[in-house]
Amino acid sequence: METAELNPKTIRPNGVSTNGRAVKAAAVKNPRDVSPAAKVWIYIVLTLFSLFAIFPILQVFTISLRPGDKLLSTNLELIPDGATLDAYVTLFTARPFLKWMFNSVLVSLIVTFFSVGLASTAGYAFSRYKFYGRDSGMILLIATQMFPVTMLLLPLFIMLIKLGVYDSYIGLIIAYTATALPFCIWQMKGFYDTIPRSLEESARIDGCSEVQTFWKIVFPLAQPALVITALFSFMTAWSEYLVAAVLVQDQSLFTLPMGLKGFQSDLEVSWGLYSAGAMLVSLPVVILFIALSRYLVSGLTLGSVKE
Amino acid sequence: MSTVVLKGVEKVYEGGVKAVHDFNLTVADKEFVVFVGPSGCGKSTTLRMIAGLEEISGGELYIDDKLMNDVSPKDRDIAMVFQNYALYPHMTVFENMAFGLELRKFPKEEIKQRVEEAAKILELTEYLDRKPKALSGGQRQRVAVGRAIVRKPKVFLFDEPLSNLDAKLRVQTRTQISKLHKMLGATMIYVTHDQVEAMTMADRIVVMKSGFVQQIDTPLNLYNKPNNKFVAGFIGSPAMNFIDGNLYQNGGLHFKDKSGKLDLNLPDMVAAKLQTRVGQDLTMGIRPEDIYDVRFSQRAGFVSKSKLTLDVVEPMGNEIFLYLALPAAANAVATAAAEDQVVARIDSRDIPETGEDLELAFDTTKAHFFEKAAEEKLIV
Repeated sequence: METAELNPKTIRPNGVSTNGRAVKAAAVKNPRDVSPAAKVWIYIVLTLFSLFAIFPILQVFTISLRPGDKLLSTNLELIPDGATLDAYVTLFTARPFLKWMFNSVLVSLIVTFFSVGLASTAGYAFSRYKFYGRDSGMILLIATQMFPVTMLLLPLFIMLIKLGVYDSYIGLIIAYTATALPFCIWQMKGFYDTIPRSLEESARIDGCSEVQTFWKIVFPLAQPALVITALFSFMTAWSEYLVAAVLVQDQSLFTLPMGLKGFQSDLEVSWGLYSAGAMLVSLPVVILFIALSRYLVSGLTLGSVKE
Repeated sequence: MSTVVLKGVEKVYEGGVKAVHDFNLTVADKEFVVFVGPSGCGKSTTLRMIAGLEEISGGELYIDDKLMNDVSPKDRDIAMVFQNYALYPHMTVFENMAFGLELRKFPKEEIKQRVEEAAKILELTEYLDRKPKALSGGQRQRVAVGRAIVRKPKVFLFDEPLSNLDAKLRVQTRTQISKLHKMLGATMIYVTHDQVEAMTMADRIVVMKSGFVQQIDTPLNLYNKPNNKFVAGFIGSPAMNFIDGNLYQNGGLHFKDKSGKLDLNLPDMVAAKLQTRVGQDLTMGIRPEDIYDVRFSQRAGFVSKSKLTLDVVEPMGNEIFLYLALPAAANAVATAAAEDQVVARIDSRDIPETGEDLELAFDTTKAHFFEKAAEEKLIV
């Protein structure tokens, strides 16, 4: 007959769970433990892709500094011979670059304001409330994203004319906000879904109305998603060309992409101005990204609940 | 005075699923009532209906004699501690605790005083400036409790507040909450799936199953006089043993299990109440501590002996649990199902070996008998 000690199934001492945990911990592999050969490969791949990403930008930068007679040179020097800031100076003095920038900033900021405002509230409703048409509404929003913007141009054009806002800031703002909103709403809804409901329930018991719960608890916690939404809608408006080209005729309403396109004429392309303009257009976006990146932290709800 | 009265309260979800059936309870002022039951039994739903987080589908809820069915949570003057703490992550411990008071427009001085007082009771004073993420699990749980007590509400609601803590901390916090209850003299309703928590903390326990209240009574009454087989099996650890069989007369009244090999004679006191049940299929319930190894037990009283084979031994230190196989019916296939074994709880002086045939004494004076059909309790 087997003795109790020899058969582990017959004696079950307390502490099975601790043993179980110890085994689990040992089985988890540190993701940084890779062999040196694998490391080399990882770096090669990363470097290649980084070069792919950086090369065009460096090229544009170089061209923007070249003197007028060397624009089409194939020289790869970062700072070309006889580098000059002429193109930049021309942009600000001989061309209405500042006006374009003002238009772009104005339109983009207003689009951002409305997108964040509407997406943060609409996303909350989609996430938290049950109402007729909620699911079909979400699907409709995604469906709008399936059409290429060129298909929407004609209806947009007709609609804005009928609304009497063709060739105006308002027309552009409506068009951009409408394009950016569906994605922003999905984005916000997805984020709200990750905020535990018990926080809101707790707030309601603590004495918040539903509006207060949203403002004092949910909105501050949604910060990372709000920042992404803001960046996304800003970029939608900032770098858009096609819609603007159709909806705006008045030169005083031109946004930056439209202005830059103007450097391409039938006879020649002012590559120097074009490149200098391109560098300046990307600058605010880069600054915006750097400024907002510290809010893009995940795990903001860390420590609030334990699931 | 803060009483809570539920009259025929029901919860029906969209789609017709009924989560709570006809819940009737009067919680007295300063009483500590625990709702206990397996998951999905409707205990949390009932608590959430009291809190106002869940709509009441039928029946009436009164807090301090005021009808609360349609009153919003913030106006019910209750506080709730959630299972996952639900601390506001963007606020410090102080702000978390002060939040409810600020919303109610308390003067700054009083808020400060109340928060500091609560922090002192809960030993959180040095953490007031920290955010929840810089706290340990136990500290977070105390902040959640602190947030409730600063408000001095009429009723405290706890929704499984200890289930995320480790075993040691759970026992510690359990006693802390009991102390707090005495100190504050507040009415508390506490939900748990852990019958030990229920037994140790409650003035009265509400046992629920599948949306129905099974029994409402004091912990000891639940243990000694369970209404039905479910309550008997739910309260107590290890759980009560249930043996199916029937009664027959042979000199005195005997209980015989399905195989016919386990045969226990019953004391007159018990037999008197079972006379009419002779021949019927019944379930006998007997707690593990009422079965013992005859060689070592000096316990007096009416006992009936039987020989069973020892399957598994679980030494707990202060005591040993023995898992014994019930004799199989002649044509039955051997299984490892729980209904084919009984658990005995004996002193740890001697560890019997598995496979051994042990002579056991069943203290049938302590046995319960349940109807087979509706699983109703018959006698004490």
